[in-house]
Formats: sequence, structure tokens, C-alpha cells
Amino acid sequence: MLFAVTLSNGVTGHFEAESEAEAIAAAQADLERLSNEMNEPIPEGLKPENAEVVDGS
Amino acid sequence: MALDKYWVGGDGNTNDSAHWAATSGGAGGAGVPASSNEIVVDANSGTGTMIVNANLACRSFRSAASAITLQKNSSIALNIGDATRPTGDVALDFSGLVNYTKQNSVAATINFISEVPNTVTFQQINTGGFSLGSISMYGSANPGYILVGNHLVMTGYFGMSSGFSGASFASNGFNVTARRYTFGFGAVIGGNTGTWSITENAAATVWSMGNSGFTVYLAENSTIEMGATSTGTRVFNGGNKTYNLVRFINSGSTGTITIGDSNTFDRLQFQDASNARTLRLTAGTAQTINNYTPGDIQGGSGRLISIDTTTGGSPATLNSLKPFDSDYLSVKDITAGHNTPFYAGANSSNVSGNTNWIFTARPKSGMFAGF
Repeated sequence: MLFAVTLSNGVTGHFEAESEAEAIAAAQADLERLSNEMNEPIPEGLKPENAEVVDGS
Repeated sequence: MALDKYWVGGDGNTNDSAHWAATSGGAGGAGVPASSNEIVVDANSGTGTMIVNANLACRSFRSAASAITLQKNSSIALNIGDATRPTGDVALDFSGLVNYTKQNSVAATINFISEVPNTVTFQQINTGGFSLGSISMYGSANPGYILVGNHLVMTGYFGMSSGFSGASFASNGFNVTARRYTFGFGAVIGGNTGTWSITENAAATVWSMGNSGFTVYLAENSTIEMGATSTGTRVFNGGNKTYNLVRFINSGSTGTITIGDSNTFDRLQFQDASNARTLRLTAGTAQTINNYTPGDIQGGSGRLISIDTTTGGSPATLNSLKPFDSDYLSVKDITAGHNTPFYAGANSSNVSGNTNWIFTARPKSGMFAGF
């Protein structure tokens, strides 16, 4: 399933996952990967807040 | 509105307080705008050139039926947006200007940096039909922008997002033209039905789509095309996204097109009516074409289309959900995937390192053609 995961700053991403919890974990992992790539810490308080199914197929 | 700052007195520099009034056609001296002010150019602004000669901030820039040409000096920032919705949700409207000129085709950047979330409003951008320099969009609250009225033409670059700030942009059916495109973290792009044209004619990464889940590309019915010829290598990094029609078909280039990341295309076209060209896939990636149409990737007599990879001997995969039917190719290190026949054609060259290709013409239709 494709989930739309929204961060605390309103930014939304799309993640393939089997559950909401999996989608949020994938989003958090993506944030951490980007933080490493950009050599920039994740801003304080920035985290995935909710996940909603956008494509259940 | 008290927050509006009206341009008055025709010719002048924007850092001159005497050219700013609190009312349309009012007395100057109201002070240079700040980010909380909305700039208005109208019929009472006088005649001449309004020169952005120093960094200028505003909530929005609107114009209506004026006799003013706006000139943006080189390396000067025009920052549009604050934390409040602009009047009419208009971020920029150049439709009332006589002209918009730039001292530098690239460095004349307009930054859209509102902190009004796209969940509240999409702010409008109307170029008035004038070409802009470069555009940058970002904001920590993830603002949204939508084209209205006119196509968006840039002589410079189009960039979205900065650091962990994002922005959303909808082309709204209009075309977008720029030399290069960069979409980072938090960028949400709606391609709609418009054509996105790449006009870089030098060796460069011309399309850089972030490979994060937080960079969202909604291809919809859009087209992305190369709009300039080049002798240099131009790189299209697709960010592992899904695209509609992407085409590199303008004739006269000799430079290579390199595709990075593992992307999906509804159709991918690569042709040149006059030259041999090279389509180079990044080694280890896979490109998937959902609706390959015969001839989409094809050369001609004396002008083979080469398909190879960025690292000799290291393959890349080309998937097609429909039979691949081509001719006049030179293929090296390409694995054909998806259990679909890949007919390179009778006039194609099997260089080395290829898997699953058939170097003959595709059988003509008939029950034994099989597909």
C-alpha cells in the first residue's frame, strides 16, 4: 500500500508499506538518511506524525 | 490596505522610500517594503522603469494595468512571502507590467518563501507572459504555489526546497521552461497536463529529482522534453519516480543523455533525426517503460542510437511491459527485462554484455508472432 506520511512541519511524503506503523518507520529512516546525506541534523521536533493510505492496491 | 505599498513616481530604485506610498497614487515616503507588505504597481505608479536595485522583501507582488517596466538587477534577491496569506492568495502577478527585464538571465532569482501551508492555500503565480530568471521555492511550513494565466518560462533554473524545508507546486496545465530543475526534500510537484521543457545547452545535470519519499512527483499527463541541443552530456536523475512521457527527440545534438536512478516511464522517447546519439543508463539501475511504442527509442541509417551504461562491463536493466521493437541501435551492457521480447532490429549492433535481446526485426503480425 502507498501511504502519505506527514511530518510535523506539514511536509508530506509517499511510502510503500504494509501498515501505518511501517510507513512511519520508513519515513523516519528516510529522514535520517537525508540528514546523513545533507550532513545536517534533523531539525528539533521534526518527525513523522501520521500516515494515511493513498493507494490501497 | 495599510499593509500595501504602492509604487509611485515612475522611474526609480526600489530602495528609495520616496517611490513608495501607502495609497494608490499617494504621497511617496511611506518607506521601503518589508516582508509584511504587499507591493502594488498600478495605473497611478507613473511611467518608466522600477529597478529592483537592492534586496527586496514583500508578502506579495501584484500589478494591474500599469505603465511600469520592472527591472531586476543582477544578484539581487526578491523574496516573496511571509506567514500571512496575501490578498487574493496572489503571490506574484506581473500581468499589469509593461515588461520585466533582468540584468542576468540566471542570477535574477525570485524566492518564494511563504510560511502559509499548502493545506491553507495554494498561492497564485502569474508571470504576465514574461520570462523570469531563476525561481526558488521553499518554506518550513510547506507552502504551495500554482500557476495561473500564463506559462512559466525561466531563463535560469527552477529549484524547490532547501534543507528540510519543502514546497508544493502545481503547473495547473501550463507549460514550464527552465534550463535546469532541482527538486529536493519536501518538494511536491504536480505535472498536470503541461510540458516541462529543459533548455540547458551545456554539459550539466538538468533534472535532479530527490530520491526521498519526501520528494513527491505527480506526473499526471505531463511531458518532460529536452528543448535545446547540446554537444555535452546532460544528466536526468529521476529520483526513482514515475513519469508520464519523457522525450529526448529534438534533433541536432551530439551529446549523451545519461539517466540516473531507477525510474518508471509511461513512455520514454530517444531519437535524433540527424545525428548518432547515446542514451546512457547508470550502471546498476533499472528503467521501466510501461507503454513502449515501436520507434520510441530508435536510430536510423548512418546514425545509430547507442544504449550503454556509465561503467563499461557493468550492466543496467531496461524493462518494457510491452514488446520492445526498434532498429538501428548499438547496445552494450543492457539487460532486457520483464519477460518481454526486446527486438533491437536487423540493423542494430550487439556490442557486448547484453542479455535477453533479439538482434533481428520483430516478426510481422501473425498468430506465430506471439504478441
